[in-house]
Amino acid sequence: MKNKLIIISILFMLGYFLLYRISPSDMSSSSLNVKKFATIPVLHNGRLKPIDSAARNSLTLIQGKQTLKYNGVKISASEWLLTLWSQSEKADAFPVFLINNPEVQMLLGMFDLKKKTVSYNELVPHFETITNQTNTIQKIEDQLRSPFQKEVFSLYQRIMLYHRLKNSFFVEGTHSFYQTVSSFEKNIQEMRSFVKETNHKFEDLTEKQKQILVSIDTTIQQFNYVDQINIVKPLPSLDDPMNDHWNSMGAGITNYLDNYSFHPLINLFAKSLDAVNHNQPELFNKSIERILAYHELRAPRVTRFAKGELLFNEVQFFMKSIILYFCIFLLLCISWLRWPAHLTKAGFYLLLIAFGIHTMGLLFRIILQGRPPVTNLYSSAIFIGWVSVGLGIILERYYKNKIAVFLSAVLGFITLIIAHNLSLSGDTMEMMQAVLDSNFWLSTHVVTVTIGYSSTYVAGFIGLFYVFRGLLSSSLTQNDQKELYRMAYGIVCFSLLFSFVGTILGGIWADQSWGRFWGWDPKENGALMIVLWNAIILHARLSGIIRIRGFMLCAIFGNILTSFSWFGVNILGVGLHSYGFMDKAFFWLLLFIVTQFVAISLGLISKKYWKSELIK
Amino acid sequence: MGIYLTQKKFFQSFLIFWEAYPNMMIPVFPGGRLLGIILFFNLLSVVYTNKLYTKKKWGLLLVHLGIMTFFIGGGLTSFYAIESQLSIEEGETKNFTEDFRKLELAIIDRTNPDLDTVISIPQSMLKKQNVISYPEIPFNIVIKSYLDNAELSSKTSNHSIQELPQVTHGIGAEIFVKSKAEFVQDNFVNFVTVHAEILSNNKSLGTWLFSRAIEQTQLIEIENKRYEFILRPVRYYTSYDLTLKDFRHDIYPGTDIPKNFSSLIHLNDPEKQEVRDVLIYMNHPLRYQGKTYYQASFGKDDTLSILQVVQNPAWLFPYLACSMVAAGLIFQFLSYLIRFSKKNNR
Repeated sequence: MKNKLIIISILFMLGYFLLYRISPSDMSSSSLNVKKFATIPVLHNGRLKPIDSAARNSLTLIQGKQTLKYNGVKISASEWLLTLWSQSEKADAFPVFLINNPEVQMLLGMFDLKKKTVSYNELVPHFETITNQTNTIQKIEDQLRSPFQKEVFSLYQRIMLYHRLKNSFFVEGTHSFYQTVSSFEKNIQEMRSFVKETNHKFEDLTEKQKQILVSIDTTIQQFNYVDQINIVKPLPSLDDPMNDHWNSMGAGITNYLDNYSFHPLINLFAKSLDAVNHNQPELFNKSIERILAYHELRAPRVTRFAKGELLFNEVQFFMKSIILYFCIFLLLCISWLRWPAHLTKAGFYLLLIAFGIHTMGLLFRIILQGRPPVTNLYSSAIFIGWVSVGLGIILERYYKNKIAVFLSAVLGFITLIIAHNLSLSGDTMEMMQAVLDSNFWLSTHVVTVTIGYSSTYVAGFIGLFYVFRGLLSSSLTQNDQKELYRMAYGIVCFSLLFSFVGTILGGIWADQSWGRFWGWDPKENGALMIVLWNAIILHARLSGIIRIRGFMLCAIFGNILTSFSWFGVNILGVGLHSYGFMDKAFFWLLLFIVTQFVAISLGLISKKYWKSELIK
Repeated sequence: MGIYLTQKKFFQSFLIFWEAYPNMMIPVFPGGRLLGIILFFNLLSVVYTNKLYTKKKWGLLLVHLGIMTFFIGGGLTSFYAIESQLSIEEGETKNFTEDFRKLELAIIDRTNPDLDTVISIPQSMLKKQNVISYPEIPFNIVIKSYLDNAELSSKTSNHSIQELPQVTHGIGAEIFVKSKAEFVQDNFVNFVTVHAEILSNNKSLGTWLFSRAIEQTQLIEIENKRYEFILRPVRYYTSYDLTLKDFRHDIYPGTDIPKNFSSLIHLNDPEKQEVRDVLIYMNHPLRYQGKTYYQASFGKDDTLSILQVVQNPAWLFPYLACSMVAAGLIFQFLSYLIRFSKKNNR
């Protein structure tokens, strides 16, 4: 009893420690309240979000990570963005461009193989090379590009993104922001009378007036440029705060020509950027407070969501779940060697905690996005993991053999790792394409089909467990085999039900939106394959063609079909359901399929050689 | 091969042929239609031999009957469903839809000022290359050549003499025709081209060229009556008019991601006195008189809307079938769960 308590408390401490450690250290490396700045809502990629999300998305796209290290100091994404806007020269020295491809490294003269990231400043001398390369590459069709060409093109796109982001508030190189705005205002006021009377000619002006006009013209050109290329729009509509047609800084400033007044946020933003420049944290914090107060007053809902999303970004629910799932996996592996009863019990409790965190993350996303859980490939991975773990917990309740806990941890870990890698391609809460914009179908068809995927995986992993444990260990008794078989059978039935209903709902959706029930689209075929395969397994079992082993091997084959349907279809890049071509995913998919075939062939080895059979 | 042709060859057929030698077709596999019928009877025999109609098995019975209903629905759809498109510009009014995958040679008689008489000769008939005669028209058409796809260009002296029939009349006399292989991809247009001789009272009036690539009608005077000829996509006329009042293509602010496509259509049915405006947008089609109009595509700088039009008398079958199968599966699964938890509780 005492022993047990100790182990469990150690585990809890471990869990707590993990949870505590991964939460990001407070963002304020200086006395600037960057966290408040990170909360400010902006329009980015068609969606209102806190600056923090815009910063994280952009930094992830450019650098593949959400935080940055420079001279041994960790810099948060929001801090990076703030520096990029206020002191662009300083930010240009941060090594944010990740370059993995050795050939591209060679092209850029990077000979230090340990160094994988370069700064904007280091890239500047190579711009001509990169542009020339890109001009050639753009003429080549996407699929035909070599890895080198793809990498160069991606670098080009990332430089463009960086440039656009940098020029989203003021033109880069601006040093006194407030002065830019106020002198523009003053100049316009001074010339106002002149502008009204149109009879004047440029030649009639005094030298000073000419200078003012030129200066006005320059400013307008600068801000028109900002308006053209910005990717972050910080100014809400003045008429309707809930409207999502926000204005860019550029449009906000040039609008002065029409109504002779500035959007109230413009001066505040200019002042806060100046404050960073002149190292006046108090002034910065005050300006930021006032920006937030403005939003709070006009659109409390937007502010609330921005705060919520910031919290969501900071807590990193899924990252924590990944680590916990991995710990559970380790614990259970250890449990086969030592302290089986205690460790498995601890594992089960830890699984409940991990599942709880996973659930919270999922719910958080649903609320923030106002959408059902699955809206894109990323969220499908999160959801598949969640359902698998949930199913595992239910199985554990009935069978109490801790196998389901182990499988849950493995599946939860793998799916969240997949999700993490998918998240590197940008905003995971991106807006929905027009066709998909239907909460009803997203919550019925998509959710059911995804549950079907998850359960097929659970059955498949039970199969894998059966094969490996039976082959390699003598611990798989006849009784265990029967229990595994019953588990797998139940899950396959469940899977048939959900994949069938989900596929059919998809057909109905297709009938509603494209006018045909079935179009032999690759994704539809993939879903149909899963349905048919589950039906085949059940029929083969019924007619006695397969027994325990056959059933398990068939279930493993289900893994292949599901992965193909889940990812393969997107990789083919055809059909209405494809969301983009992914090279890296293709490699992993192939590898997974190969391992599954290996597992099936191992399972086909004569029972004579199975360790679990030798014992008798 | 595009999805359309694949479906046609493998699913909407009884047998799948293999062209071993040119013009020698050997059936090698059963096509979708034949398979459907076989599977239907297979299921029927399963129901009979396994006595699925007994009380205990009614969940399974429902599943199998549901799947049979699917096959019936699928069969009916493959025979009776008509797919076409309505490609309409803002301000335009149309009372027909078109199937861009099938062609017809339309002969239009405009002598009656109130009503044009249209005689349409389907593509399949042109392809057979024989003499075509209709009681409504006082002449015969002899198809002298039929090309699945061709390239048309203006004639220059450089072009060598072609093996195709000589075009004597109409716009085709100025055109050089080169036969081309048929496209099988979905998004390519095949310029079907036909050389046709017109015979009136067994006297040749000349040879004309009709092609998908020639978009205007050709006027031919036969026995003092003028007819307009054109090879065009098959038209399905409706008893009502549709006018596109407005097409909208919204994007999410600051991105290129489409948020919504919608067509505001004015429906005018003089027969039924039904006059109203309808908004067709994603997931919200217009169902009217057995036809369903879906927002499918757009063009011409967002002033042209393309609606997919489906007429499928069997559209309810899948709904019926899937409710049957789903109910059967849920019943089976629940009874399994109940048995299972009873066993566990013991």
